[in-house]
Amino acid sequence: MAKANGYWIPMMDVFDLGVPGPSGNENDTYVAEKVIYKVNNLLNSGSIVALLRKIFMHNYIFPDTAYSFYGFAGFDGRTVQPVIIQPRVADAHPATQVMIDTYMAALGFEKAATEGRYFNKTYEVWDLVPRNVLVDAEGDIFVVDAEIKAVTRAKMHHRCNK
Amino acid sequence: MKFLNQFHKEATERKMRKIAASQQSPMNSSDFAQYMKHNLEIANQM
Repeated sequence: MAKANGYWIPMMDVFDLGVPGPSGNENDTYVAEKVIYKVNNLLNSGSIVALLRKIFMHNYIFPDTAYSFYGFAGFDGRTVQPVIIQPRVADAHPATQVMIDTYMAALGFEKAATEGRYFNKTYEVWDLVPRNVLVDAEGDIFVVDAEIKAVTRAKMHHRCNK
Repeated sequence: MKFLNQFHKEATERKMRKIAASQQSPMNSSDFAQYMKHNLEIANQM
């Protein structure tokens, strides 16, 4: 279906997306002129549907670094890895944990006991640590990678106070 | 676009303007990839 609709990228063509950047747990990155392609191995998300849900939530909470869906890469008949696109954030460096805490508080999130983990009445966001969050010269914060899920408040308090 | 609060709205709009401005004269991809790797090294030392 991905092939029929022009969304299939054979793994051998992935390097045509851009210059290889750093790789993370879940993503290999390829840098193009204006965007970064992320080839996602679903290690954190677990499924394509879960990844798309996470992207939807990311785009609501962090719209300045919103993802777009680009296609599927993989080895024909064996593996499928979604490819997503994110705008490049220029002139920024890793934010400190204090900066991240302050930013999330300004968005109305409470800090959980675990570093880099936050929640409000609807969402739990974690892995907001310096490798995933940038700050520019004016102090604006850009979250380029985050784990997010929607949860109920009761479950949240139970989880965060354990 | 829906926002969490007024700060979210203002910060998002400001950052989107900055990203759009930076895309007018982007750093070349090889340099940007190196810049990302350097940022990761910094982050790993924090």
